Amino acid sequence: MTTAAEGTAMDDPRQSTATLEVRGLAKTYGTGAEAHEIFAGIDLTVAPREIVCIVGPSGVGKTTLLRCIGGLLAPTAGEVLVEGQRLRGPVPQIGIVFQDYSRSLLPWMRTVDNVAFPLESKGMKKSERIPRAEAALEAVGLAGSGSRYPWQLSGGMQQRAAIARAIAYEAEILLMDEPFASVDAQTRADLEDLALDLRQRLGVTLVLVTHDIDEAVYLSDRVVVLSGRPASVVDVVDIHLGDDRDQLTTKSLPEFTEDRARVLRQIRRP
Amino acid sequence: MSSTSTRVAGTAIRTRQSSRVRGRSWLLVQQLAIGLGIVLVWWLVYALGWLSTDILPSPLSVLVQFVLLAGSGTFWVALLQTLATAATGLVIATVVGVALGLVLGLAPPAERATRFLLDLGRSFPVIALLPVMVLILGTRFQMEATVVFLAVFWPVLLQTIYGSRRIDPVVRDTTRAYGIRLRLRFLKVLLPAAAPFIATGVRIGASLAILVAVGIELLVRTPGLGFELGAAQSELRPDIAFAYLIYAGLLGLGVNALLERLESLVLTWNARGDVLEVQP
Amino acid sequence: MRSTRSFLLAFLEQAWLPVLLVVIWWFASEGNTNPFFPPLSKIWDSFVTEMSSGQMELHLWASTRNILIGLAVGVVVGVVGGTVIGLSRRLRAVLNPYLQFFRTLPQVAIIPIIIGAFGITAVPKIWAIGFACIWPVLLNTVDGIRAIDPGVRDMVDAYRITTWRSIFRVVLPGALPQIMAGIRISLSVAVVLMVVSEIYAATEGVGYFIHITTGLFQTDKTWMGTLLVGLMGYLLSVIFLLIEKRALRWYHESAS
Ligand SMILES: Nc1ncnc2c1ncn2[C@@H]1O[C@H](COP(=O)(O)OP(=O)(O)OP(=O)(O)O)[C@@H](O)[C@H]1O
Ligand SMILES: [Mg+2]
Repeated sequence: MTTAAEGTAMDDPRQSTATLEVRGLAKTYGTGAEAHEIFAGIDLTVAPREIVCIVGPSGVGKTTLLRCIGGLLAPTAGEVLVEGQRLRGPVPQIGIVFQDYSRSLLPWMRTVDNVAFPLESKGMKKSERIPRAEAALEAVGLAGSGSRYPWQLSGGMQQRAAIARAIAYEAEILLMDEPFASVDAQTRADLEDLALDLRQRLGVTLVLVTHDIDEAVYLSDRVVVLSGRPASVVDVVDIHLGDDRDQLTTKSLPEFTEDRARVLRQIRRP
Repeated sequence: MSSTSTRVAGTAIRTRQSSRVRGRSWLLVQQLAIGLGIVLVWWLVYALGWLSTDILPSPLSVLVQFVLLAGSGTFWVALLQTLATAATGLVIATVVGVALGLVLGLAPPAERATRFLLDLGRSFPVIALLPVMVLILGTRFQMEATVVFLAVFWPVLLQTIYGSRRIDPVVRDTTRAYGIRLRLRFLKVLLPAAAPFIATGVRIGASLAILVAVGIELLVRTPGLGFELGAAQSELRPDIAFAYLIYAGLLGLGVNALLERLESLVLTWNARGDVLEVQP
Repeated sequence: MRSTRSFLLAFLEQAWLPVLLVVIWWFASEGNTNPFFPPLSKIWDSFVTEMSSGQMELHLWASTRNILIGLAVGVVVGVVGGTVIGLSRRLRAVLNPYLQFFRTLPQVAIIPIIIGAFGITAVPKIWAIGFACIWPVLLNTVDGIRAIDPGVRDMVDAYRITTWRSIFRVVLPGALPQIMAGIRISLSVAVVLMVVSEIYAATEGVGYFIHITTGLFQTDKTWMGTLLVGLMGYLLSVIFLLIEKRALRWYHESAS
């Protein structure tokens, strides 16, 4: 496991206090005859420091939902509230980690500059933002790789860098769209543990979209199952696996198997 | 429930179709507005006398000449002369350039030996050879076609070399492994693979051919659009010169559109039997 | 040791033919009395005399200056205009026919109009070169911006990157490979326009030199000037390639 050592500069926990509320959210692509209602009536409240995974069959609208929650896409109806404030576009409390890390990191900037870029845009001085970016890189286990270019890093390292960017941005809520889908199994396990570790040490809230039921159950406090057409929340499965989880023991617990079966049943439900 | 949605969909189709048509004509309106805006600014500069009338004609006089030229024999003859020069040079350059390019693309040692010459040739402003060519060949049609050929030859050659080297190594190995004969390999693998690049080379070459042909006519006063334009300018008839300039631009636009059209026709036909389409 | 040898080998592989051709030209043209094909040795002699008289230097400088200033004007206008147009889908659609017109216009046709209007000094020539250089750069900038990945755009939105910063740090670097390709086309356009404008009407420049020596039947000098223009075009493109290689290091390295 290559998660960061204890006692880094990022250890000052920001302890998310932001609550995320989704109320009656609906999205329709297109108008008229080509109108395509993706989902409707989505209600969801995510408490501070919670990890929520959104699962559902392919094409059900998970990415669309996440983009709406992140303020990248305007919903057709309903609203998203962050700390009680209605969302009208991307806000500083939310950091988004995209599935396609190779595209969201800019190849003409060194990794540390990529991580510091949103801070630069906030107007933070170089003497302040570079150390913070370095600390964020350290927190995701990338200490010392900042001076390299993204394309000189492996896929898993690039995804860590993208996560570091969200952390350096001081986002309290991280939205991730299938963040670990394009890395190998071992790296994937490492990154899952990194996610748990970040919540533990930094107190961030995580909303994660994934295809992988095992991953969802392993990471989550709650698993939200989307299904239907238009999609709606068909079930919310509470996971009781405690705060200390690890790949081997947690995944062989009977509770794990039970929760996994329940989520699966909900997805398969016609 | 279902009846409502059908009704909604029904009205929606109508609004959508009309909105698409409206969108397209709205774009056209905007494009025309931009054109009118340009003409208006031009007319203002003219009317306020910021530039002498020997320099900037009024838009109206240019429009008049533009229409008059379309009905004049001189114009059409000049247009044909320019086109003949450009086309002759382009056709010869395409034949020679493609043949040589395929050979160089297939024989790496030959390509290396000629690399410097290719770089030199590509960056050589061939029109600078014009005075020398006039000395040697005189101001004849052959001279014009030769200069155009020398200019257009390079992009065609380079694109062909590039295209013939772009063959997927896997395809190359596959054709080798199956022992496909040389002639077939050439016709069914090499040529289709290089075709898009050759087409681009010909398209670049066509624009260049017109440019060089006009340049020659301008500089050594051989008949054609360039000559007419230069003559109008030196007779202090900027209105005629501007009209020729607009025709020169339309000619470039037309030839380019024609070649793009041709390219899409030829290349789709090619792609059907294209070995590259079959992923091994 | 090994690398020096392979370098030498590569050099020999590429150099033998050009050297051979020059040698053949030198000896085949020696003693030639055809006035149109002066011996290469005579062309070389005229090069040495003209260079030592200092005249040729002035011509070379005038031509280079016109190219570089014209190109600079074209690049600035092209990149700024291309960025404005590239960022707006609407503007792109509305202006497209006009941009296509200017791109395919045989640019030499503007020379008589500009020189006829503003005289035979250097400034109108620079105008003409600048005008012609705008279009390849502008259209390539538009294409380059349009081709930027939507994922990059999402990132810019999500992290609330300010517009100006995103233009300079994201949009322009992302479009740079295309912009560079456009500048390269513009460079060769600039050289052609330089030559044509100087042959058409000028008082200085290599094109002018070629033109007057033709009139004086000094064919060795005409050949010399012509070869010099070719060399100039070659050197400019070599220099440009070096600059491009540096500016696009991330692009070439990330592709491999
Ligand atoms: N920009 C768009 N315009 C119209 N329809 C879209 C658009 N983006 C997505 N869709 C449609 O919306 C539906 C949901 O897409 P979305 O990407 O949100 O699904 P997903 O659950 O993330 O799928 P996957 O698991 O494969 O990533 C799909 O049917 C898709 O075709
Ligand atoms: Mg998705």
